[in-house]
Amino acid sequence: MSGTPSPLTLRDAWLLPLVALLTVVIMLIGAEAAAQVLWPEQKDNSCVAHDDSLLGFHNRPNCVSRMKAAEGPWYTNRYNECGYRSMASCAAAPPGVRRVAFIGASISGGHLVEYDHTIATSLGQTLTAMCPAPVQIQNLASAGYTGRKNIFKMAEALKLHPQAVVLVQTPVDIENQLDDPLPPITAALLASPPTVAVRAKRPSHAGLTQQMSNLFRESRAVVVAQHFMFRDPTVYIPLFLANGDKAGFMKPPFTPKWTARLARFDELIAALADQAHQAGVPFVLVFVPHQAEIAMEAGAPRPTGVDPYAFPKALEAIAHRHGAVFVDSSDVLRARPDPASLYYRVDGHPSGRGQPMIGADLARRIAGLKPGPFSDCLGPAAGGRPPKTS
Amino acid sequence: MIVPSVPFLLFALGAAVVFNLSAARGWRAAVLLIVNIAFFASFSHDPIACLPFLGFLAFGFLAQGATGEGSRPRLFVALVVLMVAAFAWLKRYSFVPKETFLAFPYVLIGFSYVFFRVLHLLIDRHQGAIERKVGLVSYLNYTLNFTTLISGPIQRYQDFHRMETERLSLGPVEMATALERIVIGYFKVAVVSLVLSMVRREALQHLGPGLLIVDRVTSGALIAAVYPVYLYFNFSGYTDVVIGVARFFRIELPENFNRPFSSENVIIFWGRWHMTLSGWLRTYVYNPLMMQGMAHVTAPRLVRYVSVAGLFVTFFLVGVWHGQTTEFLVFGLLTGGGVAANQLYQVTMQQWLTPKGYRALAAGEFYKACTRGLNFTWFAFTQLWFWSTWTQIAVIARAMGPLALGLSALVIYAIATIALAAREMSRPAILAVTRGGNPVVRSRYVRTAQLTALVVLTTVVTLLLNAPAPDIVYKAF
Repeated sequence: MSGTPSPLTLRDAWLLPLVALLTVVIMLIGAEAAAQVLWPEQKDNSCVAHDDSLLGFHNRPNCVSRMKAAEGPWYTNRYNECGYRSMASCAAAPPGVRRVAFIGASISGGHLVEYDHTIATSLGQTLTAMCPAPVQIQNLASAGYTGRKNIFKMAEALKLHPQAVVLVQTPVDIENQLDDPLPPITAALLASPPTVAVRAKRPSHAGLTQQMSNLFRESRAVVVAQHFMFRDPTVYIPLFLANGDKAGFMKPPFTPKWTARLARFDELIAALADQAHQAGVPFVLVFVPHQAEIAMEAGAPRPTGVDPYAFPKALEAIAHRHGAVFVDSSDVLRARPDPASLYYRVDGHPSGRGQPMIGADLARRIAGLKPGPFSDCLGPAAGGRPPKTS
Repeated sequence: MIVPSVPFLLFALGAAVVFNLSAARGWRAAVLLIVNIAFFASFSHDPIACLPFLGFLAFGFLAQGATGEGSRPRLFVALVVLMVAAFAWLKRYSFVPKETFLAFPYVLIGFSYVFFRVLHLLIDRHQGAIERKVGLVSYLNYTLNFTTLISGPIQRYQDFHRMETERLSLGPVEMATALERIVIGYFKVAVVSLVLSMVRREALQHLGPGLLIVDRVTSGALIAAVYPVYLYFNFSGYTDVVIGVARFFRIELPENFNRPFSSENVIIFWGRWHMTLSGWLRTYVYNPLMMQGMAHVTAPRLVRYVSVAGLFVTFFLVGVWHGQTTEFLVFGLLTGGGVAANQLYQVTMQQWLTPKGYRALAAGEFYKACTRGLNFTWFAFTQLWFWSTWTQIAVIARAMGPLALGLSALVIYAIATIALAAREMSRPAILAVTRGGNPVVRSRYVRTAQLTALVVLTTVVTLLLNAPAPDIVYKAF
C-alpha cells in the first residue's frame, strides 16, 4: 500500500461521495454525447404530411427525405408522384410490365434501409431477373399503416392493377391490432370511409418516473449499450421473454390478449383477401419473424414453454382460411449462421442485409405459385427446387 | 473459485467480516484457517484428488520441523532433494519417467507457489533465519493462504508471521486504499486484459496465407506485442486484487510488479516483473551460486563472468519453472540467455568505455528510450515460447514469412520505443502538478473520481461484452 495517508476529515465525508456522484454524472453525459455524435439518428421522415383525414398521414408526392437508424447507415426515401416509395411511376404500367403492390407498415415499406435493400425492391429485382419481362414495384406501405388502414391501402393498390398484392407482417404489427383507431370492418365502412382526427401532439404531463423512463428510452448511449448486449442471444432472449405481453406470441397457448389480436388479424386478412379476390389478384401474406424467434430457431437456448413456431403456424391457418398465399420467411433467415445479425439489434427491424434475403426468397416463392401470375418465371435457371409456399 | 471474480470477492468480504469480529489471535488464526481450507476445497470435492497436495504439505511440515539451525547438512540436503523431486514428480515434468506418475487426476492449484513457500521454510529453518519450528496452524495459514494460493505473490514466512502477531490497523483509510487496489486490479483483469485478449485473438484469426505484407506485419506485430501487455494486466491485476483482499485480513502482501516495461534492460526488468519469484530465485539460487563461484574462481579477470553464469542459471530456471514442455525449455534458455547476454554486454562496455563512461552512456535519455524498446521487443519475442506451442509457432511463421517476421519485430521495436518514451516523459510532468506539496493525481479526490470511473467502466464492459474475464495465466503454474 502506498505511503501513510492522512486521516479522513469531516469534509471528506460529504465531498468524496459528491466526487463519486459527479464522476458518474460526467461519465453518463460524456457517454450520451459520444453516442449522439458517433451513432446519429434521424427518425422523423420529412416527407410525411399529417394531413390525411382517413389514414392520419401520407407521404408527399415526389418527395425525397434522408433518414437513419442509430444502428444503421443513412438512407434515402424517394416517393413517386403518388407518394409511394417506388422508382417507377404510378401511372399505368407500360405494356408487358407486370406489377406487384406492397401494402402494410414499416417492414413492408422498407423502413430504415436503402431503397435497393428493401424487401419490395429485392422482390422486384429478383423477379425481373427471373421473368421474361420487367416486374415493377409500387410500394404503398409506410411506417404507421397498421391494421384496418390496410383495407383502404388495398383498395388503392388494386387501382394500380397489380399482378399480386403483398402484405408483410411482423409480430409487432399484429401486436398493434388492438390499438386500431378504425372501427370494425363492415360494408358501410368500406362504402363511406370515416375520418380520423389528425393526432396533435399533446403536451406531456408525465410524472417523474415516466420522464425518467422516457429519458432512458430516448438515450442514444442506452441504444449503443443494448446493441452490444443484444448481440449475445443468451442475454437478449431472456430479456425479451421477460417483456410479458410483448413476448406472448412465443408462448402458446396464447393469452386472451394475443388470442384477441389474432382474431382481429383474422378479420383483417378476411377483408383484404376478399378485396383482392374480387379483383382477381393473388394476395400474399408474408411473415417476418421477430429476431428473438429467429435466434431461438437458430439454436440459441429455448426456455420451456416457448415455441417460436407457434405464431407463424397460427398466421398460416388464418391465411389458408381466407385463400391468401402464406409465406414464412423464417426459413431463409435461419439458414444463415448468425440470423439475428440480420436485424437491427435494438430497433428490431431486419437490416439492409436481412431485407434483401427475404425479398429474394419471396420472389422465388411467388414465382412458384401454380397457377400464378409469375409461374412462367421459374425456369431451370431460377434455382431448381420449386419453393415451398402454402 | 476464480480469482478475481464476484463470487471470490463476496467470499472474501464475508470471511473478512467474520475475521475482524474479534481481535483475539486465536480467533483470527482459526477463521483464516477455515477460510483457507474452504477456498482450497472449492477446487475439488473429491478428497482423493486432494491427497497428493496435502501429502506434499504434510511432508513440508515435517521437514521444516526436522531441520533447524545446526541440523545435519546431509539431512537438510536430502530433504531439499526429496522436496524438489516430489515437486517435479507431482508436476509431471517430462524428465520424470511417465510410469511413475499417479494414475488419477489430482489438485495442483497453486502448487508451484506452495512449493516455493515450503522450500523457503525449509532453507530458512536450516540457516537459522526462522528460529522456531513453525506451528501447524501458522504453517497451514501461510502455505494455504487463500489470497496467495493461486499465483502468489510469494511472501516470506517471517513477514507473514510478523503480521500474525502484530496485526496491522484497519481503519477507513486503509479499507478505502485496499478497496481501490481491488477495483484497479479487477479493472485490469476484467476489462483491459479481456479487451487485449480479444484483440490478440482477432489478430491470430486474421493471420493467414494470401494476406498483403502490410496485413501480415500488422497482425504479426499485434500477436507478439499484445501478449506481454495482456500478461502484465492479467497478472498484475490479479496481484492488485489479492493484495487488496489480504489487507482486509490485516496482511500486507509483497508487491509483484513495479512498472516493468519502464526497465532499460532485461536484468532490471526481471527485478520489476514477478518480483517475488525473481527475489526468491535470487535468494535461493543466484546468491548461493555466486558464493560458490567466488569461492572457486580466483582469477580476478574471470570473477566478473561468474555473475554472467549465475544469472544464466537463475533465469533459465525462471523460464523452465513455468512448464514441463520443450517450449518452456526454450523460454528458459532465451530468458537466461538474454539476462546473461545483457550482463556480458555491461561487463564488456564497462571494460571498453570505463565504468564511468558506460554509466554516462546509459544515463542518456535517447539511449534509455532505445534500450526500453529493445527490452520490450526481446520480452515479446521470448513470450512466443511462453504462450504458444511448436505447431502454433510454425503456423505463424509460415503465414508471416521471413520478411514480415523481420518487419514485425522492427514495428514492435519502433512503437514500443516511442510509446514507452512518451510514457516516461509524461509521468514526471503529471506528478509535477502538485497541491500542498502532493501530486494532484494522488489526492484522494482524484483517486475517488478515478475509482468511480473504473467501477462504472468495469460494470458497463462486463454487462456489454457478457464475456467472462480471462483466467489468470499464472494459475496454470
